[in-house]
Amino acid sequence: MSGNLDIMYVGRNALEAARTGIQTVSDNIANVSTPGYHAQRLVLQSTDTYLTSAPNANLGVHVQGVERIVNETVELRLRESKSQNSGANARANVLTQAEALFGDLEDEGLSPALDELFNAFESLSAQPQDATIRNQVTFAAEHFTDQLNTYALGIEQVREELNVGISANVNEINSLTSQVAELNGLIAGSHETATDLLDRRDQVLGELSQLIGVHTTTESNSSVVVQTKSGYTLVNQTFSHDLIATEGSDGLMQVYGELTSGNTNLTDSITDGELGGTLKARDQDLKAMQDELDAFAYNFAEAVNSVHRDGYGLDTQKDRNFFIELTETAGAAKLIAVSDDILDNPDNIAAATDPTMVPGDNRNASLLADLRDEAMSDGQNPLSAVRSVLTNFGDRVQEAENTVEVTENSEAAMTRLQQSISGVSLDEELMSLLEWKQMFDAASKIIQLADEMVSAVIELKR
Amino acid sequence: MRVSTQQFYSTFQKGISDQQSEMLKVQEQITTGQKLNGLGDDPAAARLVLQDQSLKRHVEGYNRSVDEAEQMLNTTDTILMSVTSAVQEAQELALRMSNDTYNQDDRIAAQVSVSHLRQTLVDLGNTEVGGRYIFGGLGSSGPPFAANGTFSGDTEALSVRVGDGVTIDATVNGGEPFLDSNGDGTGIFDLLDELDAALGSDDSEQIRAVHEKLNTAGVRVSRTEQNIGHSMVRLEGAQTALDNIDLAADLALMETRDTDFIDASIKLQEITLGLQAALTAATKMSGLSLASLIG
Repeated sequence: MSGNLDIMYVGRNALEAARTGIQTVSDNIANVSTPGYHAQRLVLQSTDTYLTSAPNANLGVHVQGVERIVNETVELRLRESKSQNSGANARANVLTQAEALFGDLEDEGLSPALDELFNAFESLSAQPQDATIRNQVTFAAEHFTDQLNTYALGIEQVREELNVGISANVNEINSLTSQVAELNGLIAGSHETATDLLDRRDQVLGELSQLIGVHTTTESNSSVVVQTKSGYTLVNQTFSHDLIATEGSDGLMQVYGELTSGNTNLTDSITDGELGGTLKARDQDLKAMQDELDAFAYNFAEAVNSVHRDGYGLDTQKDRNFFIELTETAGAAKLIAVSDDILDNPDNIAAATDPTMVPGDNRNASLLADLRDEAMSDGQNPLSAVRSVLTNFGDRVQEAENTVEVTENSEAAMTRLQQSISGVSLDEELMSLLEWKQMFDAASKIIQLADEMVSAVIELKR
Repeated sequence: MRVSTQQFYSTFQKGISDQQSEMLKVQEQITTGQKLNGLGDDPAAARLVLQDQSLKRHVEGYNRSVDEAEQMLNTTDTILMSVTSAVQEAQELALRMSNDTYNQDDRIAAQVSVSHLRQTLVDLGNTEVGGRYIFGGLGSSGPPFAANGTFSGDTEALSVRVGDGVTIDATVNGGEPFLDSNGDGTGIFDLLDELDAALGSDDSEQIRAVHEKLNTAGVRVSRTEQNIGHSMVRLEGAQTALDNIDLAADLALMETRDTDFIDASIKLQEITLGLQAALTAATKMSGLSLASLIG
């Protein structure tokens, strides 16, 4: 049995629901441009019975709460695509920066210097007796080694300059993981669905995955476990585990994780995110180019020296190196230099194959010039070896830029999908606003009516 | 599909910024005049560009060798003309002195001319171009001919590379055409010695014999001249080949490296249109909101 007062309660509940509805719509409108905001909706339930009052009273509507419109799988995939895109961007940025070091396409740098060295050998073979030409050979050789040193040092510098960014990334990651841990605690501890906290945590996880590729899994108490792709746990419940950035013996920043068994080097296993992309550019792309340049420097010095040692200088002496002797491939491009024998006295350049025929004998100079077309120990001639180093790097730059495009598109697609699920649509909200407004008006009428009905009953008793 | 407000604007934003970055790329191509502005722009094309640029520099190097060789061959040619006329002079002298109208005094007086001719030929044989004695052979360690005509050089030639696989002798074989290279007893300085001796002994028979041999020596000089001429023709051919290689490299570079301005302008036009359309659409669409209709 229901009474007039019950009708008033129904009206009141409806009024409250409409007010909360307007509140929710207002929140949505206010946050239409807020990054990471998920549209919210009111969860209502019709109530046939209201136990604390009369058992059979129909009291209308009950506001169960406000929830986020969210698809966790899509959220996960969006974070993943953002992580890949920011990784690709970081890598491409480093490589584009390094690309500017090599002016070969503008007829500058290593390739012209190498050509000029061979041209100098060629000139020497036309005039082995000419002191000016011998000086030119020395200059050309010094210019060549300078260029090679500059390239190697340039790459090394780009790699080292990333140290600052890497430790900044690690600091940010640590700050974000501790925020996630803290939010885990708050979310697990809150009784109602804490939409703002969840949004906040999603936002932090988004920022985190833009720095480093992570796996996340949600526990039953709504807290998330965050791990690096290789399985190092960054956040578990309310605990976060810091990463540590330390400079290695090679001057390059390394990233360690703290394990009970001791610190473990995670550098090679970090993928995606700004940190992952930077490390990939540094430890794969630039490292590869550095290694290739070193190999070229070593092989080339060997090839030239071995021909040079067999020839005779103007003093009829042989067995001199043209370049300094390099002991190993590592660092060769940075270290290569013209030997002191040649720098001290260009007469020592071995242009002759027959010591009795100096100064006119040009045959060893011709052999030196011939090296232009001869395969070195790596199977390539010097010029095509240099071209390979450069175009291999070009391939990497192009690949990195393509990856940026691909990941950008997939991030855009995922963003569209996520936005189409969780984004705020102003038109939709305005429609709801009208709806809630009408509900509010109608509920007011119910209360008014109930009031009149109660008044009418009171009037009866007079 | 449900479309959220943010998505609506961000789609426009992405479209516009994509077009703008395209535009920037084309602008860069136009202002630099180059399609390739970095190794990563097109690594395959970059390889070709590097190859062609290297080829051009290589040609430059060969051109320097061509110039060197040309200078030596030209000088050799000029010197050989002088050698020819000196040998002719000796021939004429021998012919004149073999005539019985000349007596012993005349012949002894003619010995002076022989010594002058020897001096001239020694000087010619010791000609130096850029520090190289062009008749001294490969070693070229010093003047190859002593005052009496004794040769101290070697008999090899300086071979210079003027193209891939193209080598040209930039000098004669050392001692040519002065020495008795065929072993037929016609070394020019030996013949001058013989002539000198024959004049001294007033032996007209012997003078006539020397005259004959001098003819053979003259023939050898002109054969050497021909060889030099032949080398010069080959050198010209090599030069033409180098010019062609250089031109081909230029054309290839134009294709792979340089901006095609017509293409670029059309592309720029296209992008401009696209950008305009996107901007117009964005402003028009943004007016379409329920908010502007609710009073």
